[in-house]
Amino acid sequence: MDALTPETVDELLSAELDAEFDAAARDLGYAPAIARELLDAVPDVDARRAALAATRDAIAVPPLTDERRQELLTHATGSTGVAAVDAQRARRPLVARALGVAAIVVLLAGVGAVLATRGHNHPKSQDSASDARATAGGSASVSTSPSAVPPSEAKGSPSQEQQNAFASQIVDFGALADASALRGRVETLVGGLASADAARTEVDPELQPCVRQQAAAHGIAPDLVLAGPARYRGQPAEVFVFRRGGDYLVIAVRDPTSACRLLVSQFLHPGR
Amino acid sequence: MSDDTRSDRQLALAAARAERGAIDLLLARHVDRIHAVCRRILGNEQDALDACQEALLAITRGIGSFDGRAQFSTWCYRVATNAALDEARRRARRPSPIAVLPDHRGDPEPATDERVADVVDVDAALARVPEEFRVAVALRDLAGLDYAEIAAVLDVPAGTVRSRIARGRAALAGLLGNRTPAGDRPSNQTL
Repeated sequence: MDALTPETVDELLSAELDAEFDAAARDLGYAPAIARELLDAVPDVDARRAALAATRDAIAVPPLTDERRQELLTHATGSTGVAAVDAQRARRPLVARALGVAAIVVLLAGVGAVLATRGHNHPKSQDSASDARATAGGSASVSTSPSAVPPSEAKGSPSQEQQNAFASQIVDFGALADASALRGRVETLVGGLASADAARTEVDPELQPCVRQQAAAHGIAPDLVLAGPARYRGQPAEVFVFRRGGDYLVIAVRDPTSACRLLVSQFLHPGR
Repeated sequence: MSDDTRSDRQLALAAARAERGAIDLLLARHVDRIHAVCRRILGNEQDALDACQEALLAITRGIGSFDGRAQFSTWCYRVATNAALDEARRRARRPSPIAVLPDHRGDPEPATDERVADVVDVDAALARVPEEFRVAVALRDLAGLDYAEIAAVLDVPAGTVRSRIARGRAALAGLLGNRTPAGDRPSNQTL
């Protein structure tokens, strides 16, 4: 009978800890009873067994605090609606999806035509837009970038890049201690969004890939309504707020111009 | 804690049908273990929380496609393991801050045993264990998966799982001081 090597002893003892001894013995070419006999004959085997068992205890991780667990779950299950929408979207027939896309294209073309007509017929429309921006900027925390040009004010035909660019109100979200603080801040801000849609400003081009990435990752259309810097849990962050129907998806990311790492995401359901 | 007695599979299928609350229950059951697996794969709390969050979001987003053909635990911990390994790769690409060591000049030199005790903590020990062993040990000892489930998660044979766990534990036992010195490890070989 071959003796057990140290590696085989460890493998059998480890499998024994996991109630997998018999299968391990057979895989290693021993009848379980023979393997047991050989193992029992190994000097100091009990000390080795105890040493291996102690590693299991040593690597135990303290359970999450209730607060942290709730925070993780809230962030994740805020996306439940997204999962349902994704599943429904996956089940929609291709034709229906194609018709949906066609309808959106027609709608956008119609809106574009109306805007163009208004632009020609109402020379003061730019002033109206400016007035709307001023109204939106009434709060000290909301500002617009002076260098950016809202898409509706761009002269001539916009390039494809401009058409794909995201625009929103630019807001300084300030210092946010946690997800609740972020939610409270956004709830305050979204209250005035209805009248402020005209004040959207093109988001910094360096941030646009991150906006696109996060919208895609959460399975929503990139209807960005608010964006801006913040300090989230003491670290620099960028906040994006997307509209999804009557709800909002709030996202904070780190390193928005490079890694675009998600810090937190949550849905807001105003009025609920 | 919920008193819903449905199995993970039943809850996952309910969540896939967008049954209200099913995904919440499912994630609540697993969040501590997902976090623990990420924690021990990654070696620090902040990265573990990031990876855990990514995993929970990925599970929530992907549950609509869960069809019950695979075990939920296999799918769930594959997602968690991948999230942790992705986080580890991202971390490896990030520049690391230079550690600022405490200035002990003038202090009495600590005893060797104290220094060893300071340095050899669990995270440091795990960091020295090859990733494939570390992952297998975490899935076994923290997620509580059996060898067959771990084999399915990692897409390797069960014998490979057994070997990785044994080697990971042996390495950890040595690094954590539960050590029978390597040269004196027990065997009944005749030399």
